[in-house]
Amino acid sequence: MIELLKRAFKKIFLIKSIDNFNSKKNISNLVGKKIIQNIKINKTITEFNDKKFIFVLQPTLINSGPQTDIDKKIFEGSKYYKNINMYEEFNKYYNLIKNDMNNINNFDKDNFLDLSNVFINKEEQFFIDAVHVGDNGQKKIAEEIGKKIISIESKEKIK
Amino acid sequence: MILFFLIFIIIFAFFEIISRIIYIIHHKTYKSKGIFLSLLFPLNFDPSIFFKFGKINKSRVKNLFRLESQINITKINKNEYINNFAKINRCNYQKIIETYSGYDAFEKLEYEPFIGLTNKKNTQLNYANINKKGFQDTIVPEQNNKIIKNIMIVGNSLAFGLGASSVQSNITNSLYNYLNNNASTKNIHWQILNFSFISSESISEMNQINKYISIYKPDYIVQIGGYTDLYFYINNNNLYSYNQGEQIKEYLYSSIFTKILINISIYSYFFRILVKILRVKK
Repeated sequence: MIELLKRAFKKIFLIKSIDNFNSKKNISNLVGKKIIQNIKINKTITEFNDKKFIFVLQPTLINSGPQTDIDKKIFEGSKYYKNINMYEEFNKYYNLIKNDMNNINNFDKDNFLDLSNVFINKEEQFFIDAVHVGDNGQKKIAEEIGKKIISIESKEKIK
Repeated sequence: MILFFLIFIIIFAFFEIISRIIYIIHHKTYKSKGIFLSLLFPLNFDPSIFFKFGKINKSRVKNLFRLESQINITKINKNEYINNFAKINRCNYQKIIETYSGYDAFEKLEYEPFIGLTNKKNTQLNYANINKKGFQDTIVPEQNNKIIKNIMIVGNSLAFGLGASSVQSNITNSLYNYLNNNASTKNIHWQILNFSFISSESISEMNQINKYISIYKPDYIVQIGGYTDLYFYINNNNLYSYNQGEQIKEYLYSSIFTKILINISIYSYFFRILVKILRVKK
């Protein structure tokens, strides 16, 4: 009964620090491995159907860090979530994905488009919150994807 | 009998107030709204509007700003958030409020097995149009004998276009314009089939690709992701499910008694606590 009450109390107040779950001791590693596995399955399904696959690693303010004054405010507000340092976890998680995708044995260069830092060193404001971008950001992301597709098409023409 | 009923109401009201106090202290809504308003509306953004398989009640979202949940996460002042949003999209404060408030700002969802709560077919939002098959598209009938190439996009809210000021400026249409205005592929007419939906995770995207690749035969599959898998894992502690997967399972397989409790808990914070206790007990 006491155990049940303890668990209920934690659940009610959403006290979910890293120490509450064994699995949360290494969140970035656990989720990173899962997403890589799913991306590889997607690549396999796509290529089995003779189509081309591109995984785009999305930009986030949490991963890339703030560039403008308003970015700094958003970043500071979003840095901790449920007692977890999101900046640290996201960097570990994104690095895991990037290392795997940039490994030529796993992924062809054409299969991976890293946009995680696409808004770095830009004075313009892109982020409306830690993840979402406005019209200019949507256009920029679309352009980068478009460039990748055009470059794959050009290679196909040469073949 | 009346006395018994009155005592019951008083006890219930007492527990309801206590529960609301717990909620506003935990979510710190009293700081932004004051004690009285936050007791009436304990949460800035109530996620329970999506509980019934994404069926959104018009009256519950009237004048409600869709991005309140994002404001809560970023913890910045609402006016500052909207002013920044307006500045990025080169429009005024009011335009942002109009685009992202009310029924047309809230995505309508429906359950699709193995994928989760995805886009409801034939819905028009202020920043994205969902066709009768449940995705955004730029398909046009005839293109002067050009080769037609299709690009299938899967992804989360970023790929869906959340943040755009209009349908024309979202990722789907921006990519369509970029590719079709590119001189090096002028013999190709590009079409975009964007299956992204808000809160999508890689497991849903994998199942979408597996399901739709043979139906739509896209030339390219573009998966845009990364954020939601980690974020929702921290929220739900569930590695191999999609967002709200547990709630969907619960709604599908729970007893009528639990379903009634869940429905009441949308309105009563005391019942929310009861439901949480029941979930823990399981």
